[in-house]
Amino acid sequence: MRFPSLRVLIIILLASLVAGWPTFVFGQDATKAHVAVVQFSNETDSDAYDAACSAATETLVLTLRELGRYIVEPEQALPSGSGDEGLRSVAEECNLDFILYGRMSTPESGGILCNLSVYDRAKGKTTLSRSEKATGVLDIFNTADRLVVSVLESMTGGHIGFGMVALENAGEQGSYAVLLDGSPIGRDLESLDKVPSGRHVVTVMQKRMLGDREIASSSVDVKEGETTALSFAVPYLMDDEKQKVDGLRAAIETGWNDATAVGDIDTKIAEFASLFDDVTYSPKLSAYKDEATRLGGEWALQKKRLAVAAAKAQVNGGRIVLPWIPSGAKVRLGQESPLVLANEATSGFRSSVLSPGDYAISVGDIYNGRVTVVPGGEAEPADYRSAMAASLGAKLDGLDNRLAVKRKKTTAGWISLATGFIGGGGAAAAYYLGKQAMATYNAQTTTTGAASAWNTVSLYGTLFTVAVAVGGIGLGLSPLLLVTGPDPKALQRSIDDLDEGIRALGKQ
Amino acid sequence: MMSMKAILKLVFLVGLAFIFSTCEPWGTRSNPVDAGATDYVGYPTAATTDEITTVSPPGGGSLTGSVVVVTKVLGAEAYGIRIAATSAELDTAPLISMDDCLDNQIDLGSAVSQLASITYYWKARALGVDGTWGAWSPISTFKPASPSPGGTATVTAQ
Repeated sequence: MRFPSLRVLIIILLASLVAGWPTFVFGQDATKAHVAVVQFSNETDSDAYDAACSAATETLVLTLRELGRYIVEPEQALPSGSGDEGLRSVAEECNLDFILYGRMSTPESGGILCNLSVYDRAKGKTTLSRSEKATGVLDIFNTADRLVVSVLESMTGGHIGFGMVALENAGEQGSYAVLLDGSPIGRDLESLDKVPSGRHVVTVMQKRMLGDREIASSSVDVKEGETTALSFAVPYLMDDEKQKVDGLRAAIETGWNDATAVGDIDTKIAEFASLFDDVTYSPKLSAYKDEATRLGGEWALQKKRLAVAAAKAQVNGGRIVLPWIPSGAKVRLGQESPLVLANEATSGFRSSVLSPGDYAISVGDIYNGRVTVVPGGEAEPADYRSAMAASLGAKLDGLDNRLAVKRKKTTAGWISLATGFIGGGGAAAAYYLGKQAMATYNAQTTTTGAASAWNTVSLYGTLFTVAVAVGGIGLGLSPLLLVTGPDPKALQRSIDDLDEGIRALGKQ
Repeated sequence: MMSMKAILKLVFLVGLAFIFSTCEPWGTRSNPVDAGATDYVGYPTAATTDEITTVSPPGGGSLTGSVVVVTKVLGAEAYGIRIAATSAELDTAPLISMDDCLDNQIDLGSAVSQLASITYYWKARALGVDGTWGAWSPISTFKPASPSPGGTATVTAQ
């Protein structure tokens, strides 16, 4: 046997690479033409044919997709009456190889005339145009279908045959969606009636409790005029769904009697119920839905039981009660975190239920002492009132003094401010009068008159200087006296707080 | 108790007031007729003839040169002056008597050379715009600054 020479092999290899480069670079799509469909225009005088136009357009798009020979671009809109020039513009702008456009009209001879045309960008004109006439509304859909097939056959240069795919659901009677070659076809279909002959992928999808799920996906070889059967089964519960449901059930059961896990169980029961909000994908799951409802009711009762049990448990403990605590003071037991941060409002303090026993207690940095908690009782540290009263009395005196000083400063501040303004006004007046006196002085032609006038100028000069000094000092001091120092209202609140505390401590 | 900041502010304000006080907010004291002004012409000015006074030499002072100065009377047509050895002689036997002086700075001229080194009495008056002489000024005295070289004094009778 004679083998081809090395040179021939290299040429064959290079030719193969050149022929296959578009596929290598762009994938299979690089060899497919780009096609767009323009919505069939209704040129009849009746809106009743709008639906027929839409159906014909959908059939055309679907069939083009199912053929698998074209990349079907989104529908295009054409400027009305633009002709081939308008089509060329759209084709170039959107990089389309073909544009299919159609119309329905009512000829004088009667019936409905369906027309479908193909614009070829490479040839720069409409290269194909077919028409078929429907006898009436009932016939129009079949006519449009025939026209689409006829045009596509001419366009592809070959015969387009159709077969059918029969779908059989052997599982649960749930709702599902059908996709052909990745494009949605419809919901709960039992068959796909007009599938172009050839190999297609049929997929069945469901929206289930854990999201969109693929139930079945199968490649089918559709033959013209034949029916290909495809069987699938909608599951009752998928494996991961079952794991989720079982996991929630177990968690709920575990925390059912735990008073500290109430919030967690609330969340899990709500999640359990939400899983079965919509069970149209597997209707028998409605049993779980009923279970979720029942579980929610039982949990509401169980929560009350847990609350009652907690209340009973508290009876064995006792509380610490303080007749009054200062605003913002923190109460601590031993070295523990603060039990409470008192509100702005003056208030007493009542602890939560504590185990009986002896506790070290502190209130801010004012009081440190001990208290013994007894079952069912409210305990107050023995020296709390006297210690707090002494502390508060001293503080009250200090605050009273500060408030008195502040009030005097405030009064002085207002007086200073008023003095400042009076000084300022005086300075302005003295300036004005001095200026006039100076004019008078300048006008003097006698020595005695000049001497007298200058005395007046000097007088206003002195007055002006004094007024400026008084005004400046007054205005300068007033903000110092008014703004600095403690806020009188805050001081008064503190005093009121202490007064309230002393009164509260005095009550038995 | 005042804080340091407040004290500093106060000092600043007092300083500001001091600066104001040293300024002359309406201009400097400047009037030629004002004896206290820096540009004082050196003699007082009066509005009426009766206010005239002797100015230079001051009372009991020395006469240097030959010019005596009296108050400038506004609108005066002329000034008159008399100098005598005694006050009584001012009206009866003045050594110098001039009534045609056009300025309040009166140059006695060569008559000065006739004066001895004794105390002389003098007074002045002004002629108003209405053509009447005003009252004589109060009598003042002076001594010539240096002894007179002697000679004959020119005496002009009134």
